[in-house]
Amino acid sequence: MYNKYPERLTKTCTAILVCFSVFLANAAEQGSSWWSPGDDRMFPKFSEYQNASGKFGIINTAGPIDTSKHPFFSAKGPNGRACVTCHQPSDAMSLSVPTIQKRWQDTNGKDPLFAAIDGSNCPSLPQGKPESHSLLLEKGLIRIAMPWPPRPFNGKPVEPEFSIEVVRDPTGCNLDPEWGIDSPSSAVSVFRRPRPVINIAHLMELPHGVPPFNNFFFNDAMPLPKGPDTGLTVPQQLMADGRGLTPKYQATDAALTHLELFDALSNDELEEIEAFERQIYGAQSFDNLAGDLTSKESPPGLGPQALVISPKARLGNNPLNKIFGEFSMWESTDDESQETQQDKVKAFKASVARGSEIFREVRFYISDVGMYNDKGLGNPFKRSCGSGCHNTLSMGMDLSPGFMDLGLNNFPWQNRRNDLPLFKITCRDDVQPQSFLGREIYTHDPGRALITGKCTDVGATMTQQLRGLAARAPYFAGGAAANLRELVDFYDRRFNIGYTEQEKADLVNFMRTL
Amino acid sequence: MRVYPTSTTLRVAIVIWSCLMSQKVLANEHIAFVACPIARDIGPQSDVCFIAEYNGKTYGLFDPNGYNRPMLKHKVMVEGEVIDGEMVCGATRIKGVLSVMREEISPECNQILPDDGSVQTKNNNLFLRMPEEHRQRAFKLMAEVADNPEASLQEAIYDPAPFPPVKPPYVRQTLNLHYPFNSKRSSGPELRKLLYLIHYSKFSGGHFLVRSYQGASRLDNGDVMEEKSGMAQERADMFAELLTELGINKKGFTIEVQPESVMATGVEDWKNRRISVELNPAE
Repeated sequence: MYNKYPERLTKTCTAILVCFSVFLANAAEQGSSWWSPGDDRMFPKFSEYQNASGKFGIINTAGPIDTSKHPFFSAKGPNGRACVTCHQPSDAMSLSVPTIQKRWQDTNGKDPLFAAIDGSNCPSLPQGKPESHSLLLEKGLIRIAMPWPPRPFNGKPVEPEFSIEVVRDPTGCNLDPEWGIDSPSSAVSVFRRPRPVINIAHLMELPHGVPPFNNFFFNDAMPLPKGPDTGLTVPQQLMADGRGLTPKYQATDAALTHLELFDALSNDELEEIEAFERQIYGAQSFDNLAGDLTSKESPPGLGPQALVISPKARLGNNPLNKIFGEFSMWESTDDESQETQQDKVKAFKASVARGSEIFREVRFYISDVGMYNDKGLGNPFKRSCGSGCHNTLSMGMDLSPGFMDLGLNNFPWQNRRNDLPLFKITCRDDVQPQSFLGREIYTHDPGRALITGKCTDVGATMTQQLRGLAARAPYFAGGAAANLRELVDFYDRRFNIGYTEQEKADLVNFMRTL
Repeated sequence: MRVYPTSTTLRVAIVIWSCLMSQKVLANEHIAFVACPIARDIGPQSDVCFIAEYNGKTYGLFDPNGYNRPMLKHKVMVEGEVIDGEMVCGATRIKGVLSVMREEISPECNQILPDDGSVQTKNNNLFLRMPEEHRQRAFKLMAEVADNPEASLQEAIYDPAPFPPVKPPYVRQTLNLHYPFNSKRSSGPELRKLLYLIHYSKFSGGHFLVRSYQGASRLDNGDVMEEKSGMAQERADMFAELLTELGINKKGFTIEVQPESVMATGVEDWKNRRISVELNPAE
């Protein structure tokens, strides 16, 4: 007699396996877990990743890709890291502190993320102890060792206009005999957040509609630099200090430093990385209160599709574009009783719409900002967040592009930091001083000045895009704001804006949906 | 910046000269002074504007040459012609140039006047400053937004049309680029003119002759402000880099540097802080 049992068992097992595979595939697509190098997953056409406010969505316009041999996802160097290690899809292709801390717990600090070279406060510290990795674990900061004196930039030698002295060195790395300023390799260690590798196609587009500054740097009215790999004029939006002019150049630099590769990536690998970075667009796609941010009823500027359809590198501070598009469909003049869930949702959406308006309409005195007020705008320059430094359509970058120091790196700080190194910069008498601080500047991070060698650039870093904020706290290049409320409070203090509590809440709600 | 100290003889000469000049100022209304700028708030939907007080009068500070607006914490040098009857920022307009004294910080320059409603704000609608065709399209898109919110993400501000091809006969072209005191930053509008000149040269061929100058400015109080030594050379170096980056090879231009400051007269001294460019088309 023919026994159907084994066949049934086989079918059942197959069905279970299929279901399990589908579950695994969905789990991967839901992106609920950490991406380790060599995970060999598919990177889908659309994926969503949970965060505290909802979900971050990524559209991969080239369709699903197999990451098994993809250089962005493959460990290339001896420390076991890949690009994805510090640019996690769940964290808007950056890294959030909750993710970092969970990774530490899950791996007992053994993940390649915590590599001694820059995942610890200094490679000379005893590795594996949380205190040796405190800046990464608490502020999400990666050590960046900048050569001192600066290397030639954009093909031109750099003669620094200032000397640099270490005043305080809580990590020990700037005075370290092997890694410090006076070491044979002579480097200045600064600590910065990984920038989100998302919407790069927007960042790489030269500005439009601002002649002649589509090809000229606003601050000195000189031509924008050319990409070393392409010879084409490029904006400088990619990195905090503008050193990585193109995705390929950035990847090369990152591979040699963060991945500790001995040899540069091949051109094919670099092209694959750049293509991937240019084809992914991301934004918050779901909000726990507002629901689906991609629906027809939602403001068109929300959700990752907005980044796909939106023209790139355009001024958005105008009556049509309103930086992130129209939000009036969420406006409400009803009394905002919040008795039912429906009331709460309606009230939240109204708050987001108000936040959008505050962002673009409420002006304040932007004053004493080095590299900003002194580039010809005047001091003070009375603008809103959106009409001032975050004016780029759909992205919220500074189109000009904007290096500046808001008072996060240079003294007098609005957020006192005892965890970061402190440098004293002394500029030569014959150079133009920093416009508001003069020739003697105390700073946690000399910023762009470590690239250009210019006194006027001390402390300046590039304005950041505003997408995926809910997925990638803390904020600012030095991780000074733990959450969006701290970010708003910082601006309120720094520029004496006087936002009401309601306005602060509205701004936070607005930003969390981006 | 150098302010020349004055000997007794020189002081007498300056007083006489100033008397003569003051008559001329009354006649031609030229004025030159250094003062703290004062910011004036003109309403919640406007940027601040700037004024300066000098000799008991208040002048509105308007920079026609692009972005070179006054900065609190820094003094401003004002050089120009008083335009009676025209008001800027609620004060008499000066037609001329402004130079922010960037090299020195002046903490005492830190006054912001609150909005008292006395200054009418201009319409800040960017669209009203655009070419007609662009403006019409922007307004059309705005009208669509109620039915089609995605229209709010469409392109509203366009790149200007490219320069049209240049046809012969090609003739000598000249351009003066003016600079604020001790500055080598070109203004946006003048850069556009330079870009046109370079565009012209692509058709006409020829050679650029560039002359770089630095200047001194005689103020109404008799002080002479001279730009720092080497400024003309710095401007020349910057300009050579600019031309090279814009595709003019080194054989395509000659730069002459006038290292001594052009003598100050107290009238339109700002015109001496310049780079003059001549394009002589190929034969």
